[in-house]
Amino acid sequence: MVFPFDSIIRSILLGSLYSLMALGLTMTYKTGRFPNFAHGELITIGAYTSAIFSRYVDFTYASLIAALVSALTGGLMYILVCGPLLKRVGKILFLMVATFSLGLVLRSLIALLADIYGVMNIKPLFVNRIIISINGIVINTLFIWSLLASWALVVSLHLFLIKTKLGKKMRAAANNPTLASIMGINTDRMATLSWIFAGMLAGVAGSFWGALSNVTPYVGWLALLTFFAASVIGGLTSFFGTIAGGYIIGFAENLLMDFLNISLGIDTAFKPLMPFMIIVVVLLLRPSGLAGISFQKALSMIRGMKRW
Amino acid sequence: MTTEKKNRRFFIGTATAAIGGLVVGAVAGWLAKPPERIELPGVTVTETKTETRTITVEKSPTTVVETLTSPPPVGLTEYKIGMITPLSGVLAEFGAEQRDAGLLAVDEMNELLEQVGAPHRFRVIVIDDKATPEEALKAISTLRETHGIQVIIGPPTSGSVLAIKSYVDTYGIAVISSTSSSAALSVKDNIFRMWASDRLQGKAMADLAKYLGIQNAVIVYRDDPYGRGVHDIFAENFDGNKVDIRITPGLPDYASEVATMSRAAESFGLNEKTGIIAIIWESEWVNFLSHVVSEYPQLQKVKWIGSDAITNPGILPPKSSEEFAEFLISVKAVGTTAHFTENPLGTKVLQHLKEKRGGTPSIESLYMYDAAYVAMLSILVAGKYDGKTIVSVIPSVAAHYNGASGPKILDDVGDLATQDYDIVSLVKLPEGYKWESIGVWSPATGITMK
Repeated sequence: MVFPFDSIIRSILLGSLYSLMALGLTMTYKTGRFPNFAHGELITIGAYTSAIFSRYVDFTYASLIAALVSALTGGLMYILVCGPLLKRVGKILFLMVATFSLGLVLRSLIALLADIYGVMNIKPLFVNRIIISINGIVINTLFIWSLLASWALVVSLHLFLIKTKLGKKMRAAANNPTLASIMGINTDRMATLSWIFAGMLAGVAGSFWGALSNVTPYVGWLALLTFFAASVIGGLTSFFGTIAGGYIIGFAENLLMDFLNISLGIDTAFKPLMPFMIIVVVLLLRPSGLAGISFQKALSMIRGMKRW
Repeated sequence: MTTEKKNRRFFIGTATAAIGGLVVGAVAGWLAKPPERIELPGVTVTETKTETRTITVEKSPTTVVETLTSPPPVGLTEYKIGMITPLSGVLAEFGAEQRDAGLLAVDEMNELLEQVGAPHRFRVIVIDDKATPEEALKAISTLRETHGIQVIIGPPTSGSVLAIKSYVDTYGIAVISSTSSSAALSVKDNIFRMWASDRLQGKAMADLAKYLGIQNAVIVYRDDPYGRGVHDIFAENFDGNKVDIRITPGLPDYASEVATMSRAAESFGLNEKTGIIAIIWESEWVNFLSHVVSEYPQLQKVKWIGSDAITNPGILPPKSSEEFAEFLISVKAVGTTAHFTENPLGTKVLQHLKEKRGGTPSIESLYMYDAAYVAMLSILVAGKYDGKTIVSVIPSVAAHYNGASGPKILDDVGDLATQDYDIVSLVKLPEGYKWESIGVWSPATGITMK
């Protein structure tokens, strides 16, 4: 049996992108405690922005523009729809339905515009060159860019949330809105900022996703289940849990699936089952996912084991 | 906060949301004015004329219904024809083109009938099926139950036709599909198809594989009636070694499927005796090529054969990367597409569509044009608006009809009796990339290369 080493590279690439997508979902969930089913459309908007602008400027700048556009859209989503509903209604079911409807409206709008402008199926102009190729294991520019961009964003966001005043305010508002409000923090503004950041992450993810795959009005919607699974693994609230979840899904869909295909002859057509199964297993065995696991405690345990 | 204040705020909020929604809708509507296209580098911007026809759009929760609302003629018999075509979803562009071709045929017939003073007119009711089986079934039941329709043109996709088959057979509705081709539908029923069954394309691809000296085939196919149909016939007619890779349509990415394809090709040997037979659609081609070009350069050593979707414009610049086109040229990829003999009628229809929609209309639109004509002529010949009677005359009417897409002689199960396939290869011309015919496959004589 040949071990699919190339799957490891692919798993890392896709895991990075899933993490980026899922992080935005986690951020918006932490804000309002409801899942944003329109998050996929932020990814689609990012992908289309990148695809169109990459024909006029370099892909890097196109990705930045995509991040800005998606960030703006994310902010508007909260200001115009989710924020007022959250204040007025506050019930999760209504908010879920609202985000679902918002996603439907946005998706239809994108499809309408894509049809009019003849871009139902388009791809960002990104020259993907092979950098290293050893025994079928290929590392190309998209892999490097995606990995670097993902981790740069994640680390920057983490440092922003931990080290800066504004970041601390955002965390306080997300963890305990009542107390934060009492302390004089404008929770509404903090929530809007969270949605803007979520949009930014989605925009970058959409841009790289378009470069990897192709862009249609449904690209974000089709990936919704996958990055939702990543967020569920992270317990919907844990930053690092979501990142781990993204990589778990990436490895499950690629390395595990390839392994099952090679060793047991299981058809790759069963790949869409992976996110479903993972959601079910996580919810059955540990509904809080990786949230609540103290990584520092785990690290101490590992260090303690090493001393043996 | 008092209840009164809360209510006032709620009212203001709701009103603001409603006004905001109207503004968004107005902006969307302004953007949806007669098309101006983004000028992608390499694409020519074409001005289009606006239609003066009045169209009423009835929106149900899941379908879009368009009805031509020319006032019912006084003292004349009006026959309704239903049209099912995707107007949203991934095939929206294709479906809208089909719609316009069908409507052109009906307009022409009505003009002719008016000219000669005939006491008949035709009215079309169009429903969007989003190229999904569920919506197609809803569409056919709406057309029959709400509008009393007995004759349908479309749907163009095999999945949708398969979904409505038992319904049309139960209620005796005549269906003339433009481009459905799945071999699974090659049975005697109320469904007639202007496009040849994939039995022929599958055989053409198998003969092509043999002609190219392929002994080991890695067959990648969509897990839907189209993909399974072509795959089954190919596998039946190809004698060499085969590996099947079934892909689920509509996934966001096919990285692992491409990896499996590469492993299969490597197991056979990366040489000219190994071929990748791709029975997939445009968006899957783009995804596959994204991975192949940047992760699996070794697959340049094998042969590539694609089904008809390989010639879709989304795979080539300006919509996709030039690298894909260069890859297809470097591996001398070939495809099979339905042979179309240029004729004045076909040219006229394509010109009309080009003026109306811009861009380059596809040959497939001609098949909906012919489906509409066969439907209308069959209704007139039958003399009464009864599905079963119309079904009984369609084969004879089609046999005597030579349309925009050629003769429409049907076989005993109601499919186009014969179809030649062009063997096409991608070339780079000064004006861009183009699929050019390098040979023809005929059911009678096999492959003849130019």
